[in-house]
Amino acid sequence: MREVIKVENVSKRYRKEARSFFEGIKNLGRARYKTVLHNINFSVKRGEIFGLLGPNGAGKTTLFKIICGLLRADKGEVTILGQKIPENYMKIAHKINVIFARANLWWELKGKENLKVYGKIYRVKNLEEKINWLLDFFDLKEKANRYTDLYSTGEIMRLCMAKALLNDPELLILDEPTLGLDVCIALKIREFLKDLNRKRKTTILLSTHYMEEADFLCDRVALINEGKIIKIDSPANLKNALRKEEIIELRLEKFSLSLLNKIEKLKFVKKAYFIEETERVRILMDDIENLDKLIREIKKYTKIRNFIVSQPTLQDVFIHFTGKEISENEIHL
Amino acid sequence: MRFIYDFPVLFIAELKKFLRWKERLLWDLIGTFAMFIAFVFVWDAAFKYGLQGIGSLTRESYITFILTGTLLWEIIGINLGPISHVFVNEKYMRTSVYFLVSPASRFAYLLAKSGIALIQILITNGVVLLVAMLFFNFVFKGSILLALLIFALTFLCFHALGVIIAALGAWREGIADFSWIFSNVLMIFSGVWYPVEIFPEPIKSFCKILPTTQAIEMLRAVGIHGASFSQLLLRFIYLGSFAMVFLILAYFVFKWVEGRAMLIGI
Repeated sequence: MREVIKVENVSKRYRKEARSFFEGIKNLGRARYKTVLHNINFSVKRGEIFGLLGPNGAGKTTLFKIICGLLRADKGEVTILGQKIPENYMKIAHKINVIFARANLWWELKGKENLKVYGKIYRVKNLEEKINWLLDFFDLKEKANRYTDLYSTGEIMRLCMAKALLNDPELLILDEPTLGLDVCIALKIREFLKDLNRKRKTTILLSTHYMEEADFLCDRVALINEGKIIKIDSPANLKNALRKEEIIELRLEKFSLSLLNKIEKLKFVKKAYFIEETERVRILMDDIENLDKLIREIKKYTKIRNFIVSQPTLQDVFIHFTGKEISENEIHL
Repeated sequence: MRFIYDFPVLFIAELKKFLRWKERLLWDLIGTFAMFIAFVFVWDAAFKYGLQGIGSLTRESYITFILTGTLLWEIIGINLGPISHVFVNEKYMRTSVYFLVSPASRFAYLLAKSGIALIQILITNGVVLLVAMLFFNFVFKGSILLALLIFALTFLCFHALGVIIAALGAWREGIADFSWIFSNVLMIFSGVWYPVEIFPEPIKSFCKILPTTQAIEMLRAVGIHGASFSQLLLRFIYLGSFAMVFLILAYFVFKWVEGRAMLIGI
């Protein structure tokens, strides 16, 4: 069996809840729906790291919930490790493990106790040894005997990560695995996941905001927007599709949103956006020939401090296909 | 098979979770004692000032009368309040998500939580009973086995009701308010610490159809008058039917809520 996950023609819509009692009465008998997933198709091969990239509300978490048997799709079929989901989820539950961005471990138990309970549920052999190793790896050994509600966001995420790795899963499903973690721990986790995938051939399905994470980890990436998969390919191929576009980055003396709007309105500019981390404006253009026009236009409003010609990133790819950017500061719920 | 393995694991986990806030056992005990002692004083004073007795509440039996009500109310109150709250809390805090994606037995999980309710009831009722026997000259005339059967039926009946409330509840505060109002209405009309005979006739009829009233009056009939099983057969059938209906209803409500959660999310 080469395909670990197979998602075929999956669609899902939610009933829109009334915002008030009176709206509920007004709309009585007239159910209103919002489609969150449109005809989703993809498959994940054994040993592959597959990423879902999309902005807030794109439908990633709904898709994950359908894959984990927590939600039923309105249309289509999901097969995990050869079993139909959600009907046969329990047959494969011990072979997979999951991290959800907003799910919690039991608050009233200590960190180590949580791992012990889940370890026993997953029938983990040499449990004590395994827990100690995981606590050590995720730098939680000193906090192992603290109640979980006293953990910081980053510590909770690390504990969830430790829980997800307890049973050496064949399939690991990670919804925003490094959300809220400091850079060092996030890097360590990425390295660990890559290593896990390389050594044990663990299949990983993950959603992430962090472009460099998707770029570093994923063999293939699916771009998802407004419930539709726009493109599936390897990060390298996706970026290659943009090679013929010119990308430049400018550091301006004065930046304003109105200036960004003016740049975007120029006919040779495909998209312009501001990167907070580097304080640069990133501009996707059709043709480098128009560079002098662009510079002249910007100089009308402010000075240009410096200027680089850049390589395409997954953020650029996403913008190219959707016209939207994925903010790394957004918290996907 | 999975149930046999998972139940002790989940039961111990639930016990640890419960003991995180072990003070609540003390508050529960103090609350139960306070009501017991308060009504002992009330009825003691009433008899001293010439009350002849109302129904099965007499000068000789008032300790047994109040104690039986107190013990049964502990069972009813815990199942309608804290237990329904525990289930909703897991939904609200999203701890149930990780549990539901794990291969654990769902039935073991439910039963582990029920087991904790039972332990809390046993501890509180055990201490109250012991104190009543040592300091209040408590006499129980009837069969202990029959009393245990009444306790068990009441537990099943109201545990199922607590689970139904928890399954239908979407948020913690709503459940806390609803179960508080619901259990207080039941408490007022079930004659927990006073006889329902004090109510006017139409309200009395309403009181008599409540399963809480039936359970309390059955226990009083056993404890005060030494009633036998055959004498209480009709009432057993009545309470048993309620327990059966609530258990079946709880199963279907849980199934319905599960199906709904699969469509719209937990």
